[in-house]
Amino acid sequence: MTGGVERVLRWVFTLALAIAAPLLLAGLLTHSSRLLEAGVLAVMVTPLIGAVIVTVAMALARDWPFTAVALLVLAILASSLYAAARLPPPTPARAREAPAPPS
Amino acid sequence: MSDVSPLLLFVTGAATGLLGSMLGLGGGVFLVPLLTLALGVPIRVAIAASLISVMATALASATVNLDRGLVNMRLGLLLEVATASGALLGGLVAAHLTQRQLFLTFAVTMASMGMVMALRSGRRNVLADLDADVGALGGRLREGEAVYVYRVRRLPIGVVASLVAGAISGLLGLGGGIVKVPILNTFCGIPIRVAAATSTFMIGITTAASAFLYYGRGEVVLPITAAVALGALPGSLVGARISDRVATRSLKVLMAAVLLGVGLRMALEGR
Repeated sequence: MTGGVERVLRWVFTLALAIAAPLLLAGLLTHSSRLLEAGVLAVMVTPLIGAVIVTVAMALARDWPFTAVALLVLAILASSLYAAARLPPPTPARAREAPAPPS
Repeated sequence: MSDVSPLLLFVTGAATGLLGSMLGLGGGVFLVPLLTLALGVPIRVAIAASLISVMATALASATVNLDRGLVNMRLGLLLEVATASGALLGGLVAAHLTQRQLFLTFAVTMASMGMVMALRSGRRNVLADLDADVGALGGRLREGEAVYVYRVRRLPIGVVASLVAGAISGLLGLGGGIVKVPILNTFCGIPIRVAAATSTFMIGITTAASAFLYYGRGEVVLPITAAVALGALPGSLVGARISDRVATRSLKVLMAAVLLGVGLRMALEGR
């Protein structure tokens, strides 16, 4: 369970940041919301990918108790995604809570 | 709120990432107050930006800590069940709190953190060097020539602390390490470096559990989040490199004062 999976995770995290950072920078410079969204989503899905990798590594090591624990963590993340997908759009009441922008 | 200069947001992200990394806190405790009080960003937007920023810096830190063999993955996974549940709950509850209630919750949390930091500023944690079986969750830590062995004790306390840390993360956009790390170290017998590295490694998952909800509610304002996260990345990497060279105790005392002061200011904002 150690060594191999840590190398894979390190590689995946490095790759994700190497993709996300230029997308965010390019999005800011060009005012492109598509690039910004792609960069933010690249950051947001990386922990999910990390959790999947750890789950697979636990299963490959036949460490069944911790495979079950890892699956539980994945289930919580899936619940969050499901809840997010079912949320209504922001309400005008919440928008009114925003303080005035600084002058 | 989109009138705030991206450069100013970048510098804010870099400064809070640097401070947070030097203190092992994650930058959220400084980022949310700065964005709301100094730059006028709505608190929900600031919390969402902080979550993504903390996530990015946690991923960057994990690449370093995974190399050093400091991350206890089994322990991290087990505690993450509680932390991610707390974060999901915190993210859901946050939608039902008013801006005033969020400010007051943040103020109480900041003040508590400030007091904890002040009380622990002179504390030095000693590693246990047990020869006994480390169990399913214990491990080994190498420091130069020395090898330390540790065994996890009082796991239920660690689980409760993780749940609270997750809820704080989801509610206020923090990483939760400020709650988790001292308790894992003090009560559960986990060496401070292992506790910090394991907590940081799992922060990505913790913040993701609530960040999806903020994203779904349209509270992730892309230009603000992008500028802050981009600044936090180099800031946190520099902070991690220079953290060994600063006088930690005086820095912690200073930060305790800052946290208490900002907590008071947040409380006034939420009146």
